[in-house]
Amino acid sequence: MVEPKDPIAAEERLAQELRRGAVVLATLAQVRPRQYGYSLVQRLTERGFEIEPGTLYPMLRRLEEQGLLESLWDVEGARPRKYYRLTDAGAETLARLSVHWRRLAGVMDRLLDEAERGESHGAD
Amino acid sequence: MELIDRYVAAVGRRLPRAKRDEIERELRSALLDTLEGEGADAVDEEAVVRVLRRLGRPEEVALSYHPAGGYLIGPETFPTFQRVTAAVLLALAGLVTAAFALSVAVRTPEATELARRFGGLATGLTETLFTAFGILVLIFAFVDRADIRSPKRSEDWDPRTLPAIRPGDEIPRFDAVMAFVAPAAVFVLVNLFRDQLGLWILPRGELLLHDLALEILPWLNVALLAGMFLGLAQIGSGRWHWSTRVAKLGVDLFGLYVFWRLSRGLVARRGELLGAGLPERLVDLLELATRLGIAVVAIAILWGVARLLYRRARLQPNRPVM
Repeated sequence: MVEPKDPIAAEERLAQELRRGAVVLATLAQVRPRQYGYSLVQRLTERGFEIEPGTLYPMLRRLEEQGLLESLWDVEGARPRKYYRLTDAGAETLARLSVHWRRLAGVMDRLLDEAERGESHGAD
Repeated sequence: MELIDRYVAAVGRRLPRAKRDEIERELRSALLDTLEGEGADAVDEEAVVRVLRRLGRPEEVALSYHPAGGYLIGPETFPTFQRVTAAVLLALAGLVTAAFALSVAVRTPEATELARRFGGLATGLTETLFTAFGILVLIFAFVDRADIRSPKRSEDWDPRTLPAIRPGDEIPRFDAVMAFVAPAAVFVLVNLFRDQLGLWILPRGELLLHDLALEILPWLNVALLAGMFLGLAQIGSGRWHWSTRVAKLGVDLFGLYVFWRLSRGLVARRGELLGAGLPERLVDLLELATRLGIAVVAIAILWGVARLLYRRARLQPNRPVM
């Protein structure tokens, strides 16, 4: 069996991949009513979903290009800020993805429970 | 703020032109928000460096704005590809053109032979440049995928080493397009209507100076082709570089030479023009117009040289602040 060279780094990469799969859903869920890039980073981090600004900003643009978000420059503050908000298509996608996520989370819970039970049976 | 501007410009250089302005504006705004959120501002250099390091190297940030795998040469390699390609193509075009000019200067051929040889030059030049471009694309696509460069770790990166912003480097889109379209239009016109080149004397419909026009045409074509390549480089890059500024001066100098040949030809044919019944005042006016052309191009060249020297003197190479 091949042992990973750096188990901690390998685990971190796997955890990142897990987060990457959820980052779109997390963003769509938190962009309401409207958010600018930094406020969204803060909001997600405060709720335990750490995200790098370098990951979030390009993704916001991609979601806008896909029609799930729309942006508006607010020039009335001390300096211009680009705000994002959900489009109707984005809200529908969020609703559908939420169903998928909850179903997946339920399946994963069962799988992990079974794995833990199997481990404890094996230990007996 | 200056460090943020340099960072934003470094990212922008690696982005497609269509998205560049918007992403640069967005990135600047996001960086200022982040600094404000940390209780710092843009003049706090340590805070700026910390925020920029966290965001990542400009090439990594630019890469994240590209769709995965949607490019042949990635943003990290692309600026080098642009510089190398511009230098190689300009050098090749210069060499081929110089060889042609030398062969003509040594023994000036008849007008028809000259036109034939010019056709050969245009074909050979196009073939050479396209082949060189293709080879460079393949090489850089390989370099991009093989990732044979020395690894650069983000934590080793110092944002203070970012290159300085050179004011006036940006070329407006319209100017860049016109830099290509104007010589291309003249090139098509003078070559499509080659038989009608000369001075039309109405109402008799007499065509004068046709031989002079044919004599000038190959030189004019070289100048126009060089102008077109320069225009393409400007469209592709969107910014002035040292190489394109020098190439522009070269093209202007060549234009000056073409005007000088035209002026010399006109003076030599003064008797012919007067003999054809052209008023002396009109002949004087023609000569004056070519001299004015020479003066305008010469002033443009001097202005270009002065600007280049001024920029070289004012913009010192950027060094990290210790």
